[in-house]
Amino acid sequence: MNQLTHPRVRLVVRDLVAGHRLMAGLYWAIFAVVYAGLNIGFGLTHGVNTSVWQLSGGQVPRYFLSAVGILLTMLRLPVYVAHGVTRRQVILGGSVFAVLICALWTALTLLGYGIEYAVVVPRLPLYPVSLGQVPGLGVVVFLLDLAYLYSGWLLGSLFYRFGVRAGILLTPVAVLPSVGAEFALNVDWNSQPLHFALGNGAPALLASLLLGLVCVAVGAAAVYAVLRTVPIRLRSA
Amino acid sequence: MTPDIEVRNLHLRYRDSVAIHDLTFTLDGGKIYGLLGRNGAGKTSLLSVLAGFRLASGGAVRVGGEDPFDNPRVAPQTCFVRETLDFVESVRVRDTLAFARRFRPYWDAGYAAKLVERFELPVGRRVTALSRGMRSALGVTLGLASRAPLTIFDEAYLGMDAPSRYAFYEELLADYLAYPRTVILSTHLIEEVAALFEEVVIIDRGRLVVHAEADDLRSRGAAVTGPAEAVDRFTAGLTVLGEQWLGTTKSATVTGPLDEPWRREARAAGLELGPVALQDLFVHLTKDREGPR
Repeated sequence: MNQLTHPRVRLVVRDLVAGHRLMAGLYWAIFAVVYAGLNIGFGLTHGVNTSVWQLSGGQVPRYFLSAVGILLTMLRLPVYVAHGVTRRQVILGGSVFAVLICALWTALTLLGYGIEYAVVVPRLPLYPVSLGQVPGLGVVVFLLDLAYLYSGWLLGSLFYRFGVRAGILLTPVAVLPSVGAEFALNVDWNSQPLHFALGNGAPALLASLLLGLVCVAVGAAAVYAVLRTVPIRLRSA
Repeated sequence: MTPDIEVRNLHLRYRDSVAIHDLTFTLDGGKIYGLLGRNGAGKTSLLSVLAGFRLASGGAVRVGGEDPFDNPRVAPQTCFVRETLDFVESVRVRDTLAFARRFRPYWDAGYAAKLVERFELPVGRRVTALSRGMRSALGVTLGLASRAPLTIFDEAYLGMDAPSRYAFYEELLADYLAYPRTVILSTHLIEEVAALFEEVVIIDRGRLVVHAEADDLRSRGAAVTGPAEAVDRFTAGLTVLGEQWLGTTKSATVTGPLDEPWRREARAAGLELGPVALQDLFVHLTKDREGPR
């Protein structure tokens, strides 16, 4: 049987989706209110001359994904194993869930651009994202989201497996997937030198996407390596 | 449905200590086993390996003929209820039961509802808001209603009051008779639960002390009661676990080679032979703790 379609993997995915629905909905509701407030505030005080969504719409929700990743092991792994799910099934189910939640996050991020574009573009002719860039931007945002989630998952797994002190020492290792993906994919920040070296254009974007994918794969492999034989310890009472 | 358990030369090391040394025994499926040992004897470590919660450092463990660690065929067949419970604590009791219903292949929802009623579990309350005893009652409810072919309770009923514990013992026995499975109970409340044990495994400092049928183990000791002089004569050379006097009558709890001729002779001499408490034998078998580890 294909491991990804194993009934217990599907159960894990369904449970994770159900368990995060309310929290994710609340998060986006609050975030939308805060963002709308920021946008209106910016517009009233400075006039509309920039995309607030570009400043805050992608990065801040990504931290939420990292927190989701941290709790996957700390909160959920012992419960699943205690109910007859193997570690491998938890990792597979968690990975499917990661793809689903990151796809949703990406869709909401792109939707944010769309709404902002519709609202402000008459007053902001040089809107930073054009319609033709949406597919590429979607892939970039998706890979970044996934890298942040895996960084969080790796961090939580390292703390769970090796304890607090070693976990703190290993934190730089845990953030490597997200930092690496930022470097590879963030066209306006750290990856500028990379784009410069590779030539700023389609090949550079392709190379960035491949590097971003490698960062995600490294994060996933590291989570697997840490959790594959992890003991399920007694929780402190 | 009732997996055998085979443990061969099992070792389990932690970073700075050895929990289990070269442990070997076999448990036939379809019985209730008592796993006894003093604090730090390695009971929880052993059960964690049997349940696939921990990877052994050496040796081999087989549950139903298969390695239990992260095994997708064995894991759903095993339910390990621990002293600290393994569920998301921020959810309500009813959500915990619903979770078990989804994940436990042999879950009996009707039986779970009966146990909830019997233990008076407040299904609408969050797990974090439950008392220690109520949390334990929830744990044993999950363990019993899971009907897992291998069900393990590790001090799972700590904090439960006496009526609730006795309700648990009754439910366990009745449900085991209706749905035979392999059950392992690890406990310090030996006398309360001793009547349930078909076989007993005693470990100390990670080593096997004894594995025997409960009745056989009990027959290794006796409470000898009668005139003090006769009692002393018949117990000479045996290990005396305890003595009591009432006037000239004496009762001595002894262990040793108490074969049938010895018993016949004692009875012929007017002595009464009574059963010895499993707990007394356990204390005797594990008392030399001060020796080198």
